[in-house]
Amino acid sequence: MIAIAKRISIEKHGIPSLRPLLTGVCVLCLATPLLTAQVQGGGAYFLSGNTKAGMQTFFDKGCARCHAVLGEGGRAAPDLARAPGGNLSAAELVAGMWNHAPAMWEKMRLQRLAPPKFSEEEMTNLFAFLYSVRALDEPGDAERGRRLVAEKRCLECHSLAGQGGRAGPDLRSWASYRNPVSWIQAMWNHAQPMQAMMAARGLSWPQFLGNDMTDLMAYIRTLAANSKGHVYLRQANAETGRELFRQKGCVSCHAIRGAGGSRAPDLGRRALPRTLGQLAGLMWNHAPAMWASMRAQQVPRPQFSNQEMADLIAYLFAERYFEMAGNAERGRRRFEEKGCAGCHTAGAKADTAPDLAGWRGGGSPIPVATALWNHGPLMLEKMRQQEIPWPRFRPGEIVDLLEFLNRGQFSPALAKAKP
Amino acid sequence: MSFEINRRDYLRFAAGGALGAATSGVSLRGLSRLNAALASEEVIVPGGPENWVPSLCSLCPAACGLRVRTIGPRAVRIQGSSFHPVSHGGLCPKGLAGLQVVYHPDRLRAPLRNVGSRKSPRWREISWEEAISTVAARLRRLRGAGQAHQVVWIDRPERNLWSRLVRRFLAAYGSPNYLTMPSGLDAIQTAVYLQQGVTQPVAYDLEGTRYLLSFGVNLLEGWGSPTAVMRAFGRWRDAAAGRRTKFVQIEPRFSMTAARADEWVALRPGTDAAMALGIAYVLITEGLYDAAFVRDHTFGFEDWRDAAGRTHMGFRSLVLSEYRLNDVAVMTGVPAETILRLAREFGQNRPAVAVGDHQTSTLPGHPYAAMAVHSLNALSGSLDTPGGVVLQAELPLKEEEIPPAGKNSWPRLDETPEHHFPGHHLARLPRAILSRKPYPVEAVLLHDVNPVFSLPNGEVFRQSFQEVPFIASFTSFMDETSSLADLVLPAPTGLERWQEAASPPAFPYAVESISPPVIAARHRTRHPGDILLEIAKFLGGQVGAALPFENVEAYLRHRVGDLFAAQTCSVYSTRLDEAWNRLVERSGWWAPTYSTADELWEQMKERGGWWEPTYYYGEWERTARTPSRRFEFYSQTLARWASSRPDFARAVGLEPGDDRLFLPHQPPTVEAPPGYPLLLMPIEVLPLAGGEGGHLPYLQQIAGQHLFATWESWLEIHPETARKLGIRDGDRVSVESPRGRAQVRARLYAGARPEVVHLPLGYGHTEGSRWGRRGVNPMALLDERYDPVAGLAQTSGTHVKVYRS
Repeated sequence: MIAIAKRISIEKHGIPSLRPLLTGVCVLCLATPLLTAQVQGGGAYFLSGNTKAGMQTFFDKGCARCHAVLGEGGRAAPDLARAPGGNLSAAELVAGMWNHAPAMWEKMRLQRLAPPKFSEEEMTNLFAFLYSVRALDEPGDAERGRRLVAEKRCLECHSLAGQGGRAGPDLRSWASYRNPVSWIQAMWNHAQPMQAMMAARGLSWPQFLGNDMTDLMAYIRTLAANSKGHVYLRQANAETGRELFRQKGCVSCHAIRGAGGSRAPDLGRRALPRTLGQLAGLMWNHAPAMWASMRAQQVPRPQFSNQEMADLIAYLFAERYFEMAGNAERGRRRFEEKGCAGCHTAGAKADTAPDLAGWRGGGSPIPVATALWNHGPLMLEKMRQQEIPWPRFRPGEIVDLLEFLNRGQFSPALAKAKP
Repeated sequence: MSFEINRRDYLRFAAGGALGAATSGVSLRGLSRLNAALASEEVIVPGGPENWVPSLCSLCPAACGLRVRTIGPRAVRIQGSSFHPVSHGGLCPKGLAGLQVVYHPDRLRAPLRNVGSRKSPRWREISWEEAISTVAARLRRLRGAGQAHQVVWIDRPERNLWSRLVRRFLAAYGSPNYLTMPSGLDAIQTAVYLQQGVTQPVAYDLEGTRYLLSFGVNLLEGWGSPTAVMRAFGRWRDAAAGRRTKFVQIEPRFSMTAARADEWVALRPGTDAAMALGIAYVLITEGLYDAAFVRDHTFGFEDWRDAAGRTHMGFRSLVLSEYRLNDVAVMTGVPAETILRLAREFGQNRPAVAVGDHQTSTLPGHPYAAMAVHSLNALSGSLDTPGGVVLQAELPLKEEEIPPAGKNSWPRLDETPEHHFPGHHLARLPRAILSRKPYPVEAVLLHDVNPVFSLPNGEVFRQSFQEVPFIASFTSFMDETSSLADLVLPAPTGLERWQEAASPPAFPYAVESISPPVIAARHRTRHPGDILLEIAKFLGGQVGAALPFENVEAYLRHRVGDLFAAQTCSVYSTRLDEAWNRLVERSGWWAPTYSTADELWEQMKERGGWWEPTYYYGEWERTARTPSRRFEFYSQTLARWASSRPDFARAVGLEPGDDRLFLPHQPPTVEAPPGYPLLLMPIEVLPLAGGEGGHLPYLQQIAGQHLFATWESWLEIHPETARKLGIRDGDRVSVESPRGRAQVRARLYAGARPEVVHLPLGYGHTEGSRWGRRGVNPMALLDERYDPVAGLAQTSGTHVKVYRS
């Protein structure tokens, strides 16, 4: 779904060479992506990969026996499109995999399933798939949507199946629009009269969190008599979205990782929701504050076409795909604290843990995840024999650790400093 | 007499049958016949380049995707197409026999004119120019004389681009009489109309269901799309996915479907409604139904009061008072413990679906029984939910304006203008023809249908068609109805022509398949669509303007433009692409592989079609369009319709004002008339599903494999009943009903109930293929009876006597 291209900032980290995997353009997804982008800028670790190939890997390797994605697959383990919540970077995904690996392997052992092994290409594709599919909105819960209509007081102004106000259009007229981004776009463009009317009626600005918008949409669809025809959004272009970010004046207040205005939050650093629709909802939630600020600065309130809104959201979402660089010094400390140095000694031989000096310049979440699956079960067994607990990582710790390994500061002296 | 059989018994019995068949030489004779059938063109090795070409199977409405291997001008092999979203590479025996259709020695080879009489036809080959001008001139004359409405078109019950073309033609021409043959789904479709108020085809998300109660539906023998059902069946038992759907078959006969189910419940014939209501009794008394769904989305569950203040009985009262467990056990012959257990399983496993009653490809059940079964779906909250009962998604085609000539007020001759019962009252046509009321019929055009053979009142059709001044039939083989025609217009077989097909019966998703000809037409045949368009051009005026297409290909290309304009869905693709497209669409995105209508057209031709892989569940306003906008246990639709029919209550067998008239209930079973102690229930077997396929040697060879009864009809009779009648396995016996008598070979079958005998459909042709003329046609023995609600032919209530010939 999402194709993102990004050139690594080699100079920034002073890395003399990169493995082929990390060079050039990375394409996350399909021949016909929904989001396409050629985004330049800072960032340390990124992924290349083919989303559909990753989906194939997900099923071929047996991940779908236990895990589902958006309800498709097994039920024994969490739906990886839904859990954990929030926007999940590659490092966060690796951290999740790492921390839950012993429990996963134990379940697989009980079911007499051998842990699958991956090539780095397969893992790259798998990450691409998981990242992409997590951006997809779910169809929504109509029952929850019914309650939300009341909670959000939509019917104070809008009508719905003969009930409610007459000030706004019947919400069923939008039932064929299947994408929450389309709903946000329509609301955004009509927000000025909405805002005035809501103020006049003493209504607070509705907030759309989590799956609120898709739940509302699902409920409204249950009341629409004619669902013949569906209106979808076509593939969004993040590169166009970047240009829109500038053209529509967003950049005058917002920055993306430091580039842009400073009056509003840096959208490259702020935690974002998991899906594209939720990101659109976030934009709506902050709209009154945005418009107030724009009014103060005499910046016109932008209007968006359906596709423009999709492109803009795609751009913001694509920016979140890339991991910020870690801190090598913190990584060094993690290496010691977590006990890695106890086994991964410099110049280690095959019968012990490997020397990680070979990771210099090549560390990214992908090789970590690949190594985890290919060697993890054996590593766990050895650790159990030596009564060493399985280390657990927070996402930031993974990034720091990778930065430390990438910089090649893994020295024999450090390795010998066992905890 | 006890009546029990289990899978082991079945296998033992089948093995015994195999042994008997082998020793009696039936199989060897069959093989010999098969070899003889293959002796001509099948074994000729052609020369020329080899290709694999996409196509569609034309042997049933499922229209599975094909890959056809061609060598030079010949099609030499058929495989399933893995791209096709319904069949996914699978093919049933019918599909695999497709080549025998193309190279059949008894195909019609040129247009024929009957130069004899209707009773003693003599056929003379004529040119296509003469054939088309004859039809066109007749239609022009009738239209000019203000008799356009007296033209009747009879077609298959399919909702595809072809049917839209014909309906548009008739609308422009000025006839309301686009009539279709009955379908095995008519009873459930009637129930869906009465209880949900919709006429969209009903469908089932079988793959997603976790518990399935089938009330006599031959799920694995040709119902819906055989390949799609078989695929679902595989998923029910997908141990790797960690799930197991329980499938319970409730029917009198131990059918192949029953043999493969997890459990078979032997039901007394015709008591499906009582069985369903007995299960409802347990669900209600034990609180196992979906109370929230019933509260929010149904009407008539509780007693209710109308606008005049009159209190009406609700479904709960009816069930609790009349379908107590022990009473139902007596009615159905099923032990109360079994009903109790099934009901608990049904109530405790979600999603659970009930299908029925007693449907095959052609035999409908009874509307009240279908309502009773469908009510179970409402009780389990399985309407428009994943794994439940859904409405087939519609193709996003532009609704084209009906030309002014079509806006006439003439009633349809099947008496269905004022309501939407999908009963296809085609059976009433002969009466209209013979009585000349409401108006005479001047011309009948038949397309690939054979009502004289396929309907219980076929003989009445034959008589009535004697009175029709002009009949023309589009068909690839001569048949009983076409033999009454003045003109027979030979159609190319599927592989020789442009084909298209919409969603197969009971399949949830919107599908449109298209395939170009694989090989050149072998004889002087022409596509019926091309002929229709040529006639439209000849007629000119509004008719010509309504169908301005050069040929069928141009028409299909025009309709693909509609699909492109809808900006949804995707071309047939791999399973992986399909899964991905579904994920993407469900979240509101669309990633097409084409950017113009021409690209879509080319891709459809290459991949086989276009479809929408996503179904949006829970759209209740679309799903329930009854007066209450809810699912109606108590059908107000039926009550309103019946209010203008004072004889309705009597026809149903109840008193006027009885609320049961509009509630699901057990209709009275037919009593055996004196001298006819056995009940004859026709059956469908997969190779001859739909009662079609008997003209193909491959299918003749495998039709009765469970008894190794091949190449001829067989009468299934319980061994104990046979013993009492002095009948041994393989004896020739007479089966006699008040309507007629037939001679057939008896096969002892412990899977038949002692009081019931079975004859397979699809045998006993008197015209056409040399191989189709074997055996007897059960339709010729059946009583002509129709249910009083939707007018569906009741084909399972004829009593017979059986004796050695």
